Parts: sequence; structure tokens; C-alpha cells
Amino acid sequence: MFKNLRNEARIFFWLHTAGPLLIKGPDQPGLDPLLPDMRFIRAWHNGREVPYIPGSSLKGVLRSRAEQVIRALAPDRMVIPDPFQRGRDDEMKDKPGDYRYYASDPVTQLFGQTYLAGRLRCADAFPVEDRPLVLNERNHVAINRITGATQGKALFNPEVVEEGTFAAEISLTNFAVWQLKLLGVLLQDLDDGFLLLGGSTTRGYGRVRVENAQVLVRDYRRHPPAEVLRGYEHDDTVPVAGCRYTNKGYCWEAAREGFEWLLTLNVDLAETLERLHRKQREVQQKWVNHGG
Amino acid sequence: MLRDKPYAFVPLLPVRPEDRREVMPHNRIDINRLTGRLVMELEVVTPLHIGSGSYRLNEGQVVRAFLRRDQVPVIPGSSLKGVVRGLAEAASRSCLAQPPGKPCQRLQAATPPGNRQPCSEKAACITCRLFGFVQGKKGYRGRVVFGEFTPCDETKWVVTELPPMEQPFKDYPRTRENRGCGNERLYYCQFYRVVGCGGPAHCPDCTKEEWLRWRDGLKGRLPAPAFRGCKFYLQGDPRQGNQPHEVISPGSRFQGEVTFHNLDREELALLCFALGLDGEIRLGLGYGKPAYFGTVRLGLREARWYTREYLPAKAVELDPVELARNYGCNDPDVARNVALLREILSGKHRGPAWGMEGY
Repeated sequence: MFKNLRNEARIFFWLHTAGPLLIKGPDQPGLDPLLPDMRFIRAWHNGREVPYIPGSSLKGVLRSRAEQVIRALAPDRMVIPDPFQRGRDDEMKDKPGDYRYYASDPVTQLFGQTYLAGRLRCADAFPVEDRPLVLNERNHVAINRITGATQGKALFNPEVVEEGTFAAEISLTNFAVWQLKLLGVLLQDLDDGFLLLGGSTTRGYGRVRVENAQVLVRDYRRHPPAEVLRGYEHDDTVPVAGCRYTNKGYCWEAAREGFEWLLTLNVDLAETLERLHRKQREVQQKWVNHGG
Repeated sequence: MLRDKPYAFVPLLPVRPEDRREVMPHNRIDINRLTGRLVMELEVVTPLHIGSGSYRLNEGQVVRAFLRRDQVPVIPGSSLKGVVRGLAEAASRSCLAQPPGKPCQRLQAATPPGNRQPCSEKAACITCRLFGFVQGKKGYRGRVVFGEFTPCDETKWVVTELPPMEQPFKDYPRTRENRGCGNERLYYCQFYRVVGCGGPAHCPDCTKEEWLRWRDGLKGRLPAPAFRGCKFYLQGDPRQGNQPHEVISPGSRFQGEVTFHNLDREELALLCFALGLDGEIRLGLGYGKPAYFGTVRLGLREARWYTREYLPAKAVELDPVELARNYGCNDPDVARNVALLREILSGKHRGPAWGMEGY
């Protein structure tokens, strides 16, 4: 599916903390005895060691939410396998690329699996320059129900980002239009607080807001698209009012502010899943008929 | 209810096999269950101190600092979650997630049947299903998310002096068989079964000396201990002391959210009750509850149900206040605990003043 580059979408946005954020770093924070028990994860960026949100943390929560949404909408017969299910690699490893893609479930098609590269990529999100970044240590202690006092020595003090803005980027290569709409749904849940980042999320951590979003779409096909969004497949097209492409010489490019317009794309997710399921079965049947 | 004590115990309820159920997986949005958000307002009733773990210099005086985020005092989700979970455990047939002390032979039967049996993915009590659990290397994330509460308007802390608190978890008496299990006289004394002391109603009249005398006299025929229950502090007039703490003054208001995912009606009712949405329960939050600090009242501003255009069915909308009011009416044991919790935490039954006899 990556042999031909047909389209690309990149979503740039800021993740602004709306509460403390804890993304745990290595278990051994360092030799300094003054360091907290749990340190926020750090990486070198522009010559400095700074706290950041790893792409894997962002991709993980987006994937798990996508699984929840798709399971709610998928037809009864459609199986959305557990990503940790063993044996799928062996089942798929000798099959051609297009079979691996079309015979996979929609979550795997978008996010990938060990046998199939995903179309979605999340970059590491580093702090935005000139925006406040405040780190602090918090204390937690377990309370015994009977005595009302602390439970033994269950005291731990994680280092959290109290206030920070991180520049995130998600990109989709050779996307289908339904995938872009699904991404809009996921970003809405992230902004709304139904999706939280990092650890200790049931205790008030991980609430972020999505700010300053911008969606950049590129179409690499010869003919210019006119106020439509074209997916990877030839028949996957939806109209988008006010979407004007400019000629970049080797591609057509359009940019739109915000992510909310993705939610208004004229795509019925339930219907799309039904269609994908039909295609999945067709491909599997064809393979069996050809003695695969 | 113990006379002349600032606290009372709510009995632990037995957990029957049918009270444990398989956990709801996190891998789907179940449109037949309840998902949404409670937007809440928290009113401080008696001075509130939530420690940041650090000290600050205030007008030349070293004081224990209130937790703040970017110079704004906040109530962390973890504090609220702990209190609400404790209340939910007491108001339902739930396991004792944290039995005091190390496993000890003598206290094996000190809790009701099924109470110490750990929850698992296949069989979890209602509180563990709601708030999550860790069992060995396996765990289950709760389906209730407590956000951080921030002030509604400009809220400043003031410095108040709290009395020094004594750790109640002391082993007493210091014997080998109850090491690490707390004060036997307070938490799991059952002497009234074999001596004529009059039972729990007279416990406040029993002095340490008397108690030790009973114990010595019962050498070899000590009754099997049983925990009185979960400890809850009564509410009263705050007691002053000499330990300076930053506190939030009564009348201050905070706002925050509690989000829940895929709950059934019974689970949501328990959550609403434990949040005190019926208006009959005031929570004890933060430090200094024995000195009657940290009483807060939670009120519901708005219930927002998870509705999305792409979901096939419209969200079921229930009245959280009504659910809280009716919670427990199907089970007489639960109803008894609910009534007791309302009595302890309503503020109508005032705690005794410090220094009273038996305190």
C-alpha cells in the first residue's frame, strides 16, 4: 500500500495541559538522591534535555480509543482482534501486501501491526518555545480504610508537568477518507477529556486540550482535486466546501485551520465498516478459492 | 457509634460470590451502558488543608504548604478519588482492598466472609469494578476518572494552626500476633463476647488500663478478633493547635469534573451516593479530620452524557441526584450502612469537643 504515494495528511496541533500530566520516564531516574521516585520522561531536543510526550504515548491512546469506537460501530460479524493476540503474524507473514492490508481489521489498517506498517504516524511532542513549562513533584500516599491512617510506607512522589504546551504532529500516508474522519473523532475525545494521556489518569492526571490545530492535505495524483478530499482508493471522495488546493509542482496542497471540520466530513463510519467487512471477506474468499 | 469519639465505624459487609462479577473490558464503548461526565462544585465547609509535602515561609513563619498548581490552590483528583472510594467500599458489599498490616494468623477471620478474597478480572466486587484494582502483576483500570478541582473565583489560603495529630496505626498492645495490625482496643476488640464490659456502646468508657486488665485476665481464651469496620470521622467545630498550616477558608468554592465510562445503573448509583449528590453527605477531605478540618460538600452543576453523532443510539439519561437518594434500597444490609454513613457524615451528629472525657 505504500508503493504508490497518492495522498498524505498532516495534522499539527498543540497539546496544552488542563491538569497535571505524568508520563513516566525510566525506572532508574539517576544517581542523584534528590531526584523524585518517578521522573517525567525527557529527551534531548535542540541541545537541551526537555520533558516531552513520546509519539508512542499519543499513538497508544489514539489506537485504544479507535478500537473502542470501531467496536461500537462495527457489524456483529466483524472481528476486531486483540493487538496482543498471538499467531496473527504467522498467519499473515507469507501473504502478499495487499492481502495483509485488506484482510486486516480497520484498526490494524490504520495503526499497523508487526506484519503490516500502519498509515498513521505520531511524532514526539516537544514543548513549544516561549510557552510556560512548569514541573513539580506531587506526593501520594495510600490510606488504610480501617485505621484511616497511611498504609505502611506507601508514599511515592512523581514528577509531573503542571503546566505546559507541546507541539504534536500526526501524519497519515495514503489515507482513506474514513480514517481522517475517525481521527477527527479521536481528537474531539482528547480535547473533551474522554481520552487522557500518560499515567494515573483516573486520579486527575493526563487531561489536555487540543489547540491551534491545522490540517494539511496533499494529493500527489496528476489531476487537481476541486473542493473534494480524495482517499487512496479511486472511488473514495467526499466534497469539502472551501477546500482550495494550490499547485506545489509535484503535488496539490490544501490547508485548513482547526480539526472540527474533519467531524463534518460526509462519511458514515458504520456504513464504511460494513463495506470494509465485505471487502475483507471477499479478499479472504478469493485467497481460499485460489488455493492459498 | 462510639460515644465521645470523633469517629465511628461502619461495619464491613460480607461479600457473597454473586456480588462479584466479571469486569467490563475497556476495549469498547458500550452503547447500552452509561458514559458521561458530572460537572461538580465543591464547597469548603470547614478549613481545608491538602498538603503539598513541602513547607513555605509565611511572614517569617515556616508553614506546611497547600498543594498548588502554578500558584493556584487545587484539590487533586487523587484526594477525591480516595475519599469517594472509601465511602463506596463502606456503602456496598466490597472487598477490603487494603487490610491493615501484614497477613497474620489471628486476624484471618477478623473480616466478614469473602471480604479478604482478592478481586480478579473474572470476579470483582462493585468498588473494584468502578475504581480499579491491582492484584499481583495484573490490574484493572477504574472506569471513573476524577479531575483536578480548581477554584471558581480567586481563592487564597490563610494560615491556621492545627493541633498535632498522633498516628493511630500504632500496634497496641505491642504483641507478636498483632504486629502491624493497628490498635486492637480501637479496631477489633471483641472482649464483650466473654467479659461483662457491656459491649461497643461502652467502649469509650473502657480505659487503657481496664482493657489491659481484661486482656491479662483472659489469658489463653482471647475471643477471635473482628474489625469494627471502616473508620469515618464525624464533623464538628475545628480545633485549633500550634502547627501552622495553609488552609482554604470555609465558603470557598472549587469546580471540577468526574467522568465515567460504561457503568451500569447500580454502579452509577453507588458513585453518585459516594459523591454525596443526595445532599445528605459531606465528605472529609485532606488533613486534620480528627480536628474536624476538611469537611466539604459536593454539588452537581450538570450531568453531561456522552453523545456523539456517529453512535447509533442516544445516551440514556438518568437523574444522578435521584440515583444517589435511592441507592441501597434493594439490600437491607447495604441500606443500614447507607443510613449509618448519612448519620455520620451529614454533620447533624456533631463530633465531641476535644478534651471531653473519653475522647
